[in-house]
Amino acid sequence: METEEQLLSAIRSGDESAFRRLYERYSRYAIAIGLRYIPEQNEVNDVLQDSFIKILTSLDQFNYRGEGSLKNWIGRVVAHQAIDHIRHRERVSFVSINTDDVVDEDSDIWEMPSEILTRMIGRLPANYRVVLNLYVFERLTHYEIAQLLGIKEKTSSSLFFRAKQLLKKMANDYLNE
Amino acid sequence: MEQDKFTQQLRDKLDGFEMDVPEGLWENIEAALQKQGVLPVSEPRRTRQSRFITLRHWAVAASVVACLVGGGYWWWSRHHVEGAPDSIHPPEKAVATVTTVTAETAETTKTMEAVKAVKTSPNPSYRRGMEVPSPEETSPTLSSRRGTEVNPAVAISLPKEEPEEITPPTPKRRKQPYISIYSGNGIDNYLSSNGVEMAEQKANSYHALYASNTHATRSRDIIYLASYEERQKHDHPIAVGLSLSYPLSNRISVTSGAVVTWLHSEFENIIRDQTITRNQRLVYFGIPLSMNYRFWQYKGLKLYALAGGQADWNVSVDTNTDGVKQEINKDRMQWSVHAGAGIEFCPIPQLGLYVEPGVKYYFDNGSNILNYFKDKPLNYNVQFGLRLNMWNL
Repeated sequence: METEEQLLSAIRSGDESAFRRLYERYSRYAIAIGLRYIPEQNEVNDVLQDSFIKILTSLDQFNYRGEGSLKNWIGRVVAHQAIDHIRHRERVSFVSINTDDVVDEDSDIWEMPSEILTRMIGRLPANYRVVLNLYVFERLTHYEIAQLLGIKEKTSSSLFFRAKQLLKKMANDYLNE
Repeated sequence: MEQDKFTQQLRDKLDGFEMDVPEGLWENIEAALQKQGVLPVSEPRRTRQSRFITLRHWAVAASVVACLVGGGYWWWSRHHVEGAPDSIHPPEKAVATVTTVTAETAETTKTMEAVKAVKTSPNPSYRRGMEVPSPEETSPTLSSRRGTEVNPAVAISLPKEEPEEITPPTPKRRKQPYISIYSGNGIDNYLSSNGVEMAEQKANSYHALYASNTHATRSRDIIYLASYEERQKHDHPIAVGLSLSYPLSNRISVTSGAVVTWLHSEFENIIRDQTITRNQRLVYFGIPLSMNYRFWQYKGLKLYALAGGQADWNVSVDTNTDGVKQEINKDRMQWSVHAGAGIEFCPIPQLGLYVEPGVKYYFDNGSNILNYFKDKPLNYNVQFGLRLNMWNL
């Protein structure tokens, strides 16, 4: 199988088909990320299209750091593009929420089908799903999320807590149906 | 550790998960890339960089060419007019003639009036010193001075030391307003690298945990996270402007105009083994105001000092993170003061080539936007350009 380094080398040497190969290799991964941020399929398609245009025109900004780094970078580009899309299309309010009265609910999300779980995350309120995605999948700390979104660290942690509880409830409802 | 379990389960379940992509998406992407001229691409990295560099070079080159063409045209226009068969005597000749007359003749009120009439002639071109009527045309009395028969009754007598009273206003270059096109930039790039502090809450726990350790940190010590780093790099500001200078005296002039400044910064957040890169491009429109004092001049070469201030308005912001465009607010108005020295060489009176090394201080405008001005408020810069002395043409 062609390595990421070989793929990049092919693109940089002018192999036009390598663009297509990059798309085919990572588009399925990219759309799954997009759907965790944006529930509407048409909007995700737009985000994916814009993301790949930016990826393929911004490869000069990418520093290869070993196998898997290209995939991670593509994932980050899609995530940032999706966040940008949400900020433009939806009225997102990142305010701190009181979580003292929330009872932590148990749920075994492991049993959920991946596609259903993906779409479920995408249907969380915008501020919840942005923070949850950044924390769980982008592996940012609340400090880093706060820096990225320009919010307080406490706001990020409270939004994540709410997102987690709501997702568990949705998962339980699905599993108990 | 419910939260850790939930996070880990979710991560394990969906990290790397793939879903079907709708048909036709690649065709749209391909069409967009072709429209942008990206496909076919030989070397994306070099193409992209060279495009940016070329843009800068073209901007500078365009300024220089515009100045040269403009200067050349005005210079050529002037010489073309002088060389025309019906042109009138140049100012130098008129001065010489009148001076000669002054030395040879006696005083009469009548001729004085005639000379005053010359001096106050409504002919605008004459008053500008562009074209000077000959003595024959302006005064028959003066004309007769050249003949062998001199009529004492109409002779002119003016004190020799006051020839300027009847001298047409020959352009004095240093007293004329001028326009210049210039370009300038800071001398150095600025690069800084900062550790990322541990959050206060976590830092307190850390202090409490290691309180008994002999190498324990003091409670007020800042703890930097080992795997986190923030780097920022600020490129030279590139400035291109057009200025207009107005002389207040022989040595002092005031200069203002318009200047466009481009700033580029790159920020890197290194989080564990990943790097998030953010590029920021800002464009400012500025209005400078400065005073120039010329303290030395020899032929076409002169030295001067300058000091003043500038107000800059941010007119454009372009920010992207890992290639994804982000919206941020524009920067606030930026005030700065500057001082420096300049050297100007004028190969011809109409055109000057100058270099102005100086120091500039940018005041904190209170905004959150990080740029070269904030990280290096006091910086040295060199401005250079071509100065076109419009009123000397």
